Amino acid sequence: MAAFDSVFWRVLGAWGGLSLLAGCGAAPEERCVLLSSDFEQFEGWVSPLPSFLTTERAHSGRYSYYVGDGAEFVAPYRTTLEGCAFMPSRLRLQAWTYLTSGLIRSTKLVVEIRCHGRRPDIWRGLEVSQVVRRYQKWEHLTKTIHLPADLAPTDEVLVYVWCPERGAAKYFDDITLEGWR
Amino acid sequence: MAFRFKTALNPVPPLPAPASFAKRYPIPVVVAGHLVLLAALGSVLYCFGIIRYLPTNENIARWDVYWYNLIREQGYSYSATSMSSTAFFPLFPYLWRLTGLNAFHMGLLNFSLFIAAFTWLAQQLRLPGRWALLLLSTPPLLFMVIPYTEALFFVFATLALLGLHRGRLSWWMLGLLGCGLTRSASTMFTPAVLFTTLLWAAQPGQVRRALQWGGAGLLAITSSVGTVAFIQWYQVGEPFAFVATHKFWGQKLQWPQFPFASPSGINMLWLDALALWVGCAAIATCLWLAGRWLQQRQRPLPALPPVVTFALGYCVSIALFILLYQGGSVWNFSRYLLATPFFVVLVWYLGTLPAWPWPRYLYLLLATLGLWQVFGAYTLEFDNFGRGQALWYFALLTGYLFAYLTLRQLRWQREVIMVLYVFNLVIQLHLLECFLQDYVVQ
Repeated sequence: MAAFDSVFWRVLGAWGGLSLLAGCGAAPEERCVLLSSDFEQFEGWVSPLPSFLTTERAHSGRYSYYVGDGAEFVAPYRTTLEGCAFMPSRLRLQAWTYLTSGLIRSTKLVVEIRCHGRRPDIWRGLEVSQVVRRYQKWEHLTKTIHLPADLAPTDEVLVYVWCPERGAAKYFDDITLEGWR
Repeated sequence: MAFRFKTALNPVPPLPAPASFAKRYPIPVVVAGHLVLLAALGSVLYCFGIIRYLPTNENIARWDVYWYNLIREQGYSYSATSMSSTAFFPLFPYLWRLTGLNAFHMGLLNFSLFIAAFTWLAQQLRLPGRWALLLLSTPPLLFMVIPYTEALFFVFATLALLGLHRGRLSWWMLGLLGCGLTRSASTMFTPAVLFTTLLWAAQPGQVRRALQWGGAGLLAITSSVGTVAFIQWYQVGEPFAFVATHKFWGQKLQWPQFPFASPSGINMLWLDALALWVGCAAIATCLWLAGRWLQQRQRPLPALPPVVTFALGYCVSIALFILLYQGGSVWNFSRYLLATPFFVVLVWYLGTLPAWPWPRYLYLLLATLGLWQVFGAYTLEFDNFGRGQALWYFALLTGYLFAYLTLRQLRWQREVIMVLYVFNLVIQLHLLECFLQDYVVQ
């Protein structure tokens, strides 16, 4: 009898909990994806493949984003904040990087928001050379960027790698940029 | 020679046994022990492949060594539109030229100079052996092995400090002159000398002596600036080229940007954060002393040794320079502050203070935890670290700092020193290896 009571109350509790969740309705979306790329999607669509792609190393799949020895800029990714159904209060950039050595010098994974003169542009860079201390293996990167409230959906978002000191070669893969409510 | 004969009526008390060398000169023995331990640890880590590089003539010539070598070989050159060697002061590169040594041997000479100066300083301050051992392991002291100015600056700053400590005016002047010729220290020393003189003169009956030492100090500083200006004017036609060229290193008066960061990365950032803490503590102490100076008619000014006041003044100057001129970058902070005899003097003085009540440490802890926010410790601004990871990083840093602060009243002082010493040596060797690989370590 005691065992029956225990099972009864558990089932009742579960049913009640589910009913409550159903009554609350769908929670509002907390985040949106502005960029998510493992650099595999170009194969077969573009020929020749863009020069920033390489098969020398990859964190996932076959391709990664490559910044050659001595290069300063590589092609940026562009989108707009319209990619989010809501206006995010912060962005979260994540990526994997493979650094050939500590000689990469200053290397910034940059998120830039261009507001076309409506307000000052936003420029934030994750200084890779300061935060990664292991070389010749894939390392995870993350940066949170707080956004002002007066951004517009048409504002342009750019993600790119900038190497002002043009150091040694480095690779990036599985880059994501999420907007958070 | 007097002989004493023992008789039944005149028993002679036994003569005290001559003190052993280790008892008479504990610091040289400790320093020798440190060198053996450093060599043992370095060779073991290298042998096991944990560190992969040892200094050679090729790999030690990195970063600013290029500039010193340029001055050594060609004298000064100046460009009004880009970086030039006039940013660097003449004593070290010309000493290097004089010796005719290569970079590796100059590094060895630097290290020997540093060891000699440290031994002298610690012996004169009567620093306990354990504390001397701990201070010798301070991680930024890796720069003493590099052909940089750190070792020569350490020697002359030690001379100046011991002149102040022992009341030798000639040491004081020669030390300041040497420092001013080695590095752009005159801008740091001038406010420190003025502050020291001010507090010293407020002590009963010390006005004349304080003014004499302050005046002599300023004279030495001015002489060093004049000499450097003359050399640069003679060679490049611009007497203050060493000032003008600093903007090409990004050093100009500007508001600091938050969060603070270090281009040297997270393995140096914690040391720069510690230097920032020491700088802020020095600023707070000097403000408190200035307040007490203003109230000296109501209550007497604390009698702080001038050598401590001067060390505090130097730390304040360095902190203000880094905060106001580097725009939120704290790199070089630990090199400029912790790899100097001023830090040794402050730790020595802290060790002589009576035990503090534990609530005082609580206030210090709260202030310290607040300070870490300049690095974005609590707001996801500490790049590449989640909130928990950042908290752990700064918790460890806080623990390290408070181990030093509370050391003199810890029950397990010996054990804590042992742990800190070994950890510091490993970090020292790791940072040296990074430097030798041309990674950014400044």
